[in-house]
Amino acid sequence: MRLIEGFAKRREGLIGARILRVGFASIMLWFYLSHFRFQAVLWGPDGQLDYATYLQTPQFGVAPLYRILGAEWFDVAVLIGSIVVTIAYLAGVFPRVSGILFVLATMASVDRNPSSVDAGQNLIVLLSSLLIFADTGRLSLGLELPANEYRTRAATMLHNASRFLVIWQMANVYFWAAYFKLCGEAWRSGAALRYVLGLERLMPFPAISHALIENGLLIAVLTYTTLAVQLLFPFMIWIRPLKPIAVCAAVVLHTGIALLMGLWSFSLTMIVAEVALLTDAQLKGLARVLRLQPSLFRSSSN
Amino acid sequence: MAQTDPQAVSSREPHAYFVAAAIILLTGFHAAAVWFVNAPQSVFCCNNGSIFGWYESFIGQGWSLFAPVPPASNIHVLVRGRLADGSVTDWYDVSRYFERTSGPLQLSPVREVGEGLAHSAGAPPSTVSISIVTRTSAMVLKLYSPGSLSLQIEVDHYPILVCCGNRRVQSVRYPWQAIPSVAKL
Repeated sequence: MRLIEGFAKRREGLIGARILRVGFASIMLWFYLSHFRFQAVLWGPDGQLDYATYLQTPQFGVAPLYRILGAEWFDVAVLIGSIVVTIAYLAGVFPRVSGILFVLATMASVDRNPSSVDAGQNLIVLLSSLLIFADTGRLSLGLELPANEYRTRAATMLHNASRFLVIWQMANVYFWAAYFKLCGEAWRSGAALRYVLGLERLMPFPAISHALIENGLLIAVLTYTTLAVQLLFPFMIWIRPLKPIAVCAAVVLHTGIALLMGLWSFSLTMIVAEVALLTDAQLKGLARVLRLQPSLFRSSSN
Repeated sequence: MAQTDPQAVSSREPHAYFVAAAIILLTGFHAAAVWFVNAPQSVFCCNNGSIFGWYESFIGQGWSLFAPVPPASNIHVLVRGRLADGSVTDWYDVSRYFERTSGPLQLSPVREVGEGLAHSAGAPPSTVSISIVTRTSAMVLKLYSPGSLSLQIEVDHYPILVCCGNRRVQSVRYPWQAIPSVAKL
């Protein structure tokens, strides 16, 4: 009962929720704007996945906006609407309302052409849906916390339930990633990275990739390190003193994936989601270490 | 504002414990659903009528990235066109086009179009995957040979790890077909 009382009194992970909102909205805004030139190719009726075939694909999410109408002007309107909504969410304008619209917009782009988005956008949909119930800050690009204003117990509990489910979702990502890897002989034998690094389309630095593939010992060490990080993360992330270690290891893993495989958007999404799992006190400590402007993390409540 | 007295909150919210129970139940349901959607198929998920089956469309996800078996080959999609005079163009490497135009660090937005092609070419053949391969190839052929009236596609698999210098290639060649109406790349 004391646990439930605590659950109802004090909101956890306020800075983390702001990092998720600002981080995810920034990534999606960059995605929409940088792909605007390819709108017709990615999301148009005559695009990579034509409208008639698109209607045969299984629906993703609850609001498949692009399925409503197969007209070029409509698809452009959906994209422009998505950009407006994402800017509103980024700035924290009515974050619960813009948060719901942000989730619907992201779902729509994943639903329209699932083969050309990455797993990061799937994660953005999953975590942003949970953030609708969290306090992600209002009318602010910064991460400053409000004073400890009066909140109903229900609002506090909803925030904390959202916080718990965000951590649970991330723990599941890592646990199942490790589980399915361990089901395969190539990962158990320590050779799997030779295949992954040998994929030409994921090779920004061919010389480095080829040098790694030739080095059997290094490949084995990196394969087992990846497995160890993914296996331990779901357990360490719940234990306060071990959190920073788990997050550091995961951030290093995804920085490596970004550099070696060129999967920037996916890696950035994962890094945002990982850093947001740290406690508010740990994030303030991180800000001090990085000498970030203290006002960004100012708090009068905790 | 100063710390609020918990008793005062409680008296203002007589249904607090019912609300707490509802939130905890829903949280538990969602947490269990996330677990079973990811886990190998069971009675809980995700057949028709299973407990979490209907909820799967809300929280669909799959984290078997490069697992259990990483891709074993590099896939190249090639395309060639037939012109009005009946002559046939060279083969153009569609996959290589996207790799080249992605640029340093692979940050270019055209990369996403190439990823769509790569995922579809590597997926089991279906109406959707064949359509994406065909239409993406048509977009690239239009750049190289705008006068083509029909196209033919070949999908080549180059094994990543090969023994003794043997670069064995597996190829599948699609029949000639009319060029579909596609957006400009």
